[in-house]
Amino acid sequence: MGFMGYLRANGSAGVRNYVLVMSSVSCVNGVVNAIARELPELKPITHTEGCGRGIQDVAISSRTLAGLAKNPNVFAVLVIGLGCEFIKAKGLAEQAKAIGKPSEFLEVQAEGGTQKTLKKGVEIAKEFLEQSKKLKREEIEFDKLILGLECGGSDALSGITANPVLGVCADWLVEQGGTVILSETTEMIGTEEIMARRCLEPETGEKVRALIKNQEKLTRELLGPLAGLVISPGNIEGGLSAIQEKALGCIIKAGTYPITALVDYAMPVSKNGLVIMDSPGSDIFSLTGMCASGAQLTVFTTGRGSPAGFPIMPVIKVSSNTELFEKMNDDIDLDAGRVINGLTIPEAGRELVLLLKEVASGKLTRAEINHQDLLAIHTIGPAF
Amino acid sequence: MGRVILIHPRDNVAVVCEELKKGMSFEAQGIKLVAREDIPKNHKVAVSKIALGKAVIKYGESIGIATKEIEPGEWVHTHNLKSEEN
Repeated sequence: MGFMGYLRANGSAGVRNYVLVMSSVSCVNGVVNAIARELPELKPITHTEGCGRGIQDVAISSRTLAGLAKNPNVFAVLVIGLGCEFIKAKGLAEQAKAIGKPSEFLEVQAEGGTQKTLKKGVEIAKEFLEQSKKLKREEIEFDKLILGLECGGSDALSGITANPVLGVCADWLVEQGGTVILSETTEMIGTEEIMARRCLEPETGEKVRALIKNQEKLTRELLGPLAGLVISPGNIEGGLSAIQEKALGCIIKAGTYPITALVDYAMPVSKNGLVIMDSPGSDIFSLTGMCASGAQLTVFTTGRGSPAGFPIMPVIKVSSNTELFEKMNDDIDLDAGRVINGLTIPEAGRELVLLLKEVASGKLTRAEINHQDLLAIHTIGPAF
Repeated sequence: MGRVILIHPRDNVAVVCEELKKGMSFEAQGIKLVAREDIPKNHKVAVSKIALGKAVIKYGESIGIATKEIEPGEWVHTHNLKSEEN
């Protein structure tokens, strides 16, 4: 049995049915927000990019914004541009249109300012919203689901309870023919040989090994004397003996199946199964990259607690300990801390699979109820 | 009776849920074992014999090499486990 989702023109399927109003450049974020204030059902997407960056960063933010517009959770998109920026509103709208999504764009300079763009934008978005309501949920097979995996604010139990429980859920989805994305390259440091061996194709294995080695070098350069905070066995007092042990406790959330592909940050996921996405370990950058790569849903494990969510992708929060579940109850969807008191990892994994099916079919997550709409696009170089 | 979690069926160490006191019994995959020493909460206990130079397995993968022979019920940490790389 599948989930109840929204089938799209290109054969993908959404777990939500959003109409986006997105800026192509930060200069028009105010106009985007003004349109969203008029029509609160819209999902505004604003960010700090679009201009004044090096070539590499323009490429990253351009494909990130296009990826978000093309995400299966999106019914239609209205892109607001300025006119003189690097990343053009027209190009983003055309990419969404090419896969069959209703899409329009407006440029504030061409329209003649905020008020005129606002008026026209509200009209277009209102029409998109009306169209979106005609679409009904239907049964969709799980091979169309791409699940993002995230851990943030980890504690000594994350690698013992919440991450292994998420691993059971990840394995289940891969068995259904679905896809899981493991990101946060920094957290793989120390496991390059294990990860390379797990790749289906030797060439992918070579790339994964080089990627993790390079991330270690980069982390040492960036953090200098603080690198030990990231590249270390972690909490020796807490029972961790080696860096491999710490990293394995993190990557166990991706389950045990072979790695089918490696994709760059925010690049479309091309294969089903377990896919690695190169991304920073910082949670919001990682969530943004996975959603732009096509993830419709994410499960996020936490030991110390995080309220984070994403504007156009439900984020299911799993606590590693029961104290956290009780303390930050309105932020956490499932407590994996019960594994310490006798619930088995497979039993908790089955509970998570059931919750995943419910959320994919429309049940709201705590992060959605709390409107935790955070977004941050990864950049490499400085702004100029 | 102490409680431990065996994360992967292939593992030769389990995670201790509440501190194990020397002599306390615990069970891993249906086999009854006895703690040979006090082992702190969230630390690792060997569930089978690990020979000198053999891999310590957690998450179904090697997390390092045994620097001593390790008996079932022994505490496994930096005193008898060395990371393969460092």
